Amino acid sequence: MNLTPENLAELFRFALLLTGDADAASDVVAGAVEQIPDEFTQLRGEKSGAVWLLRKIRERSVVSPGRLRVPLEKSEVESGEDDVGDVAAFHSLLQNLGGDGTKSVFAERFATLAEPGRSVLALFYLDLLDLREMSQFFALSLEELSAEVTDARKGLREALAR
Amino acid sequence: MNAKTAAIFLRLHRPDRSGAEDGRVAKAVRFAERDPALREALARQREFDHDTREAIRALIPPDTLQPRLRELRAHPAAKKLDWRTVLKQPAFLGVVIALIALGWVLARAWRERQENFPGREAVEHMLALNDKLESKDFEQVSMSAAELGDWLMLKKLDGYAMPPEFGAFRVLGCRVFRPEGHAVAQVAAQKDAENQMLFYIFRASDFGVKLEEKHWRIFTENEWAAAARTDGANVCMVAFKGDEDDMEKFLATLKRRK
Repeated sequence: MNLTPENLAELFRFALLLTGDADAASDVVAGAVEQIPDEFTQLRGEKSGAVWLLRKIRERSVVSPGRLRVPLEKSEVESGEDDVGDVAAFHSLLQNLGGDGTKSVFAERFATLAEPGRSVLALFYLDLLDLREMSQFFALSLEELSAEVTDARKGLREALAR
Repeated sequence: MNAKTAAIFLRLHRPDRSGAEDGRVAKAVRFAERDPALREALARQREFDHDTREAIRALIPPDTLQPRLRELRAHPAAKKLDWRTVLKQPAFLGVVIALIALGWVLARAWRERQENFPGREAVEHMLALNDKLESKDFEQVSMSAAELGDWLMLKKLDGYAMPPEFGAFRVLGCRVFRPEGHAVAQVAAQKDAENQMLFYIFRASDFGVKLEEKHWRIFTENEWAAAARTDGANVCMVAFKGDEDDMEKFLATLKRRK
């Protein structure tokens, strides 16, 4: 994987969403990149390199990467509950958070989400992996990924409203 | 697909992936376009996700990160040395084996150098004669080694003398023999409660022996351990059955006797 500025920005965003702190995120990314020469020879292809780096960043960012989701309750799967809530209010919240690119209140609040939903939602929005790759990355089925995304969206909404 | 299933997969919809989306998600989106409630939910979800993505895109790395990573990639040797990784390298194992072999060769060369000296063949010949010795070959005496001076004088071995540190040993027998025609005084003495030893005094020039003054040179010949040194014009040599370690320990006891 070539460390282009674009790739680097995405890796940094992933680390920042998991840690909530720009300095910690920089250290996490640097630490993961530093490991590359030792283990990269085992990798094949651009995608493997990206997955490897994302996994290293998650390992370094999340103290307890986590619980495996328990089998979903039928009511949870079938719930038609509105998980995004009042979109206009959410938009307003985001506009009023303040901070700048590196000292982001949004990232601080995002980082308070529980795992593995925090990592799932971060990768979902960063769009670095397709759903099949995400399913493999987290060892979750698509239904379980959907539930994690749903929970994390609700959690994000609540975290930003605090 | 029914509405409930569509609702589950709709939550994984990412507009930027249209055309490359998971089949079930794409199917759920098509289903939602025909279902007013799901269509409404999907529109609000898209808006929510759009705002969130914008917030994430606003996160930018600090200016210092890119140079820091470039430095790391350019100078991987600056990384911390991980010994667990190093130890797993076959090359490292090869170097260790090579160093051990080199050390063994150097130690052997040093030991051979220590054991070899001019006149060693003549000394080895004296030791080889020991295996044919019998008690009757010696003149029986009963005295301490310190008292051997008179006996040596009687044998006309002027200038021959026992080193002082051997003076306390009890002498069992003495003889003079003449390998290559030159006199060698040989003394059998009690080394300790159970073992005997042989002591030799001869002129270094008679046998071409050259050793450092007052410095014991230890060597072995068959089952014999021997130590020799020069004392002025003479060579003093002590020998007994054993190995180099035994001789080193014995010589250490002599130093304590001084």
